[in-house]
Amino acid sequence: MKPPQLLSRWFSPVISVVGASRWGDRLMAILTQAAAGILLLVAATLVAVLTYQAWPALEHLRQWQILTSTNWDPERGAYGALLFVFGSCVTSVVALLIAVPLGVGAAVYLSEIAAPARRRLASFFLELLAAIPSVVFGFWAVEFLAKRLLGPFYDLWGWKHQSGEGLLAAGIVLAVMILPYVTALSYDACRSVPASLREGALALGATRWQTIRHVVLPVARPGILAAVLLALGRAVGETMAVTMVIGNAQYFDISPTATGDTIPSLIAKQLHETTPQEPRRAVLMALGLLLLALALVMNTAGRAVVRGRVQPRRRPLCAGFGQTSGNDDPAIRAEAAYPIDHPLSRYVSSRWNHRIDQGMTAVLALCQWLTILPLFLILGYITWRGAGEVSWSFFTHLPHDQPPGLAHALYGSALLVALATLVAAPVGLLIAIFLHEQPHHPLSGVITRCAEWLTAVPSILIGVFGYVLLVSPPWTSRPWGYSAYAGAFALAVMMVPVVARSAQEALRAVPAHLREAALALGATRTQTLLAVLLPAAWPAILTGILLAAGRIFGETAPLILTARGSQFFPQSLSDPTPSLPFYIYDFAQKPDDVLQRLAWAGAFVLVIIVLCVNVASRFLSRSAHSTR
Amino acid sequence: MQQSRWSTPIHRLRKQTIAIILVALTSISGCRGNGSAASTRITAGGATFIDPLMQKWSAEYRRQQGVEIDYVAKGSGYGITNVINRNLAFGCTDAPMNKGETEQARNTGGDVLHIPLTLGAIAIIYHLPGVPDLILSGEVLADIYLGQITQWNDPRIAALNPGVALPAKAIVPVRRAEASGTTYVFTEYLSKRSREFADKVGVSKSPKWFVEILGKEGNAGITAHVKQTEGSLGYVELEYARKNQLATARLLNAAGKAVAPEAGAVTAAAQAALEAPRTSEPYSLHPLTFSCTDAAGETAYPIVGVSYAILYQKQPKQPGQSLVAFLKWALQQGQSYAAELGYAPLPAELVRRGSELLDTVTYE
Repeated sequence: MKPPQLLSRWFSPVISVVGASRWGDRLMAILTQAAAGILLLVAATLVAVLTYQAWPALEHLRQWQILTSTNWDPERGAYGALLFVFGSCVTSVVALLIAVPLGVGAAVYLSEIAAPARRRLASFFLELLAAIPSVVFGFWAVEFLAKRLLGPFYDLWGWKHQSGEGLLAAGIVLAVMILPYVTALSYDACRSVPASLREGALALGATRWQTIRHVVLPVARPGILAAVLLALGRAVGETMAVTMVIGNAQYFDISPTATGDTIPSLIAKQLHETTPQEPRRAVLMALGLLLLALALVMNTAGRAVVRGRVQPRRRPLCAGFGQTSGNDDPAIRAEAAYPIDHPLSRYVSSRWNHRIDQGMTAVLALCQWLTILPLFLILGYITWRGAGEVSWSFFTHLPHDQPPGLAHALYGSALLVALATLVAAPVGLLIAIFLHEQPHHPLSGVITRCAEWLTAVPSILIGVFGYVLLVSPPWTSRPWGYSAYAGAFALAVMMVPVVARSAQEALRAVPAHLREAALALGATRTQTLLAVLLPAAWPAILTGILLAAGRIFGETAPLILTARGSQFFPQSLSDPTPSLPFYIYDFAQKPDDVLQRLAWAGAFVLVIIVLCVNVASRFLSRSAHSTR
Repeated sequence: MQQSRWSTPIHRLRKQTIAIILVALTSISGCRGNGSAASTRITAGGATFIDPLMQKWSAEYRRQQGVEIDYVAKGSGYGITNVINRNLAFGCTDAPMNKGETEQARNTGGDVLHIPLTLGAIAIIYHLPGVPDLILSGEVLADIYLGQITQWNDPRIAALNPGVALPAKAIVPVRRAEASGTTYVFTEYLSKRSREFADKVGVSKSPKWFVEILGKEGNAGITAHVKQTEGSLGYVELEYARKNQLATARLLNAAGKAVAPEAGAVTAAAQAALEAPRTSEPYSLHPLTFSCTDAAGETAYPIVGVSYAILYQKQPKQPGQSLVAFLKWALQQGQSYAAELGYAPLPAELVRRGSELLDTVTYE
């Protein structure tokens, strides 16, 4: 049987060898199932490793008063970690208090009021804000937010403070970091409100603000709640930005200028100061488990709300509109048909309503500006401090050379990301193929859930996982030490689910008739996949891989514990390996002007690289769409 | 027709893919520019106290012998545990391993040697414009870190500095955020001078401080913070203070004299400490470890730290042999670089005994 004409030249040799026989299908099935198996294995090992190392602490949870005491003094055998739980809670709550009103306001403005051009521009800026690496947020927060904004502000009131650092500063920087998520997800929720509902309200004489308040927000409530939950999951697990600005104090204080510490920050600072035998390791691991549980619960709850599994209680809407279609519960219908409080009288055109409408439009517009503002503050400040420090030697020299540079860190970063991509891209793609080709496989639901969970695991825990598994495994007497392998492994674990998800979306977006046509022509499944599906989905897949690579390029937390850093170029993959974000973090804390300037230059270069990748992948996906 | 419509975008994508891969590959290989041919590399890390000297040694030794010492400073606690865990070939610490750590090491890889590498003063740095000279005592320092003295114009500081106009500003003390040998030596000194400090805080690499004090990573982190924050005070190795031109306080020593942190005053303290009996833990656990705080003598500076290299006595052949060769070099030729960086060279006696101790390393 002759292969169909649609075969691309790109895949033709592969297809003719493996595609044309039933062995091809079998091979493909084995490969995709193996990739899916790897994902399950990684997720299971992650939990198993943490639990195994945390076991002594879990056994003595009561006795050591881990969650009931604030007395943290490991040298004297006191392991009360309540302070860190408290720190994590306070910073997350502060972040939510700031980010949710702003983000939801901005989302409503973009969805209901803004012109399409502004909407596109705003979403572009938000994506950029989301792409900025957390170590850059941290650096900016220490130098600008704490020292130049909060410090002087505290001085104004005469409050005693520690250069503006503390829980509040950490909360604010977290708020900035989760703003893009809250805004984007709330925006989606608002957009999914059927237009007919809005039109109905407007037709009844409601102003735009009344429509937003009485129709859009109530209907979008589950989506917004999900946005809040997902953002909270992220905020709880954030490490680098928080650890740089929170003050690392271990003292209970609830004043506005209080310093403190959070669970991820504690783990990042102390885990590699422990040996597997000592109780402190177990306590840190137990805290890691708690963090994992928190992040997963938030994530699962958020996704359940999105999927409609959990329906948050909706306020009955006025005049029957706002009911989601397909709601067959007669009780709700009846309630909708005869609302208790008939509010039509509100919608009388009056000067007062008009004023409120105008005022609220201005408020929402302000929210939208405020969500974009941090991006410019950060980019502006980094450019101001860093752009002038970038010179040719930055890319060619070592930090202690004359003139100094960060060549080894750039090289190390590229090496780690390339290595991680080399592993994660094929595995992620195969998982996506598995999910796409075998949607009814008994494991496909579990795999999807696993991938979602892995994306929600705080990055510091991925670092811990790499550390325990590859740097200092408890079962060998000759550990492998810090290495590029360990670093790349941690990065790859972060990357796989992201690649899998975007590739799955890409495959799903290929029109079904292409696939059916190929199968109808007698192509095997593998042939169809290689010759039709993959080529058609390739641009989107590539975009996904690029975006994922760009994201892990800026990751610091998983590398501190695995690749560590090094004064030299790595000679082999088993050496400790330097990376750009690691050295930004390191040099940001140095007193020497030379190293500080290097850190700023590094932050500037990192931001430029990450933003370029982001813009390039957008461009790539757009050009691919236009040619289709 | 059909053929061309389908192959065009794919063809372009193929080019894009290849271009991206090529760019990635060239950027990776291009960055390598001045990377040298493979040479022996020793992975090390630990104390930030000795970091400036260690980086100097690393550069010199690489130039002379072609062996690279990859020393990453992350605190003494990091050095100790990573030596125990065998993630590092050797580590540095200013606090000798305590009983628990020694035991864990013995269960993991056998006995650990402590080789003294250098001596340095822990300077009290402060940021107070208009006050270039300040005298402090151990008791006053202890009360600052206990939160009992909070203002620069406190009568007890004023009594030590007659005629100095002290501002009515809050003192912002800084401590180390991670487990640190510098903190260990500092708290040892404060505990010797203040009964209350010994009871409430005690001697530790990462003590539980009695009050809320800002934590910073590394000697460098404290230095950076004091440099940038008016009213702050911290404790760092002398070289950090010198390089950043920060004011250092003179301290009252055991003989009641105000002594500035200088190499001479460090040597004097070390001489006195070497003659003192070593009875208390952890100094009794390891040969060649000394407590140099609050030493006797008119010219002795009271807070002196000894930085030790720690390594397992049983070493693999490689990099064990290169490692021992480097440590011997650091003990002997390396001492000549100590003075220019504000460290005090080791007494000849210690150099000899350190080299002898290194000879007991066995290779498997």
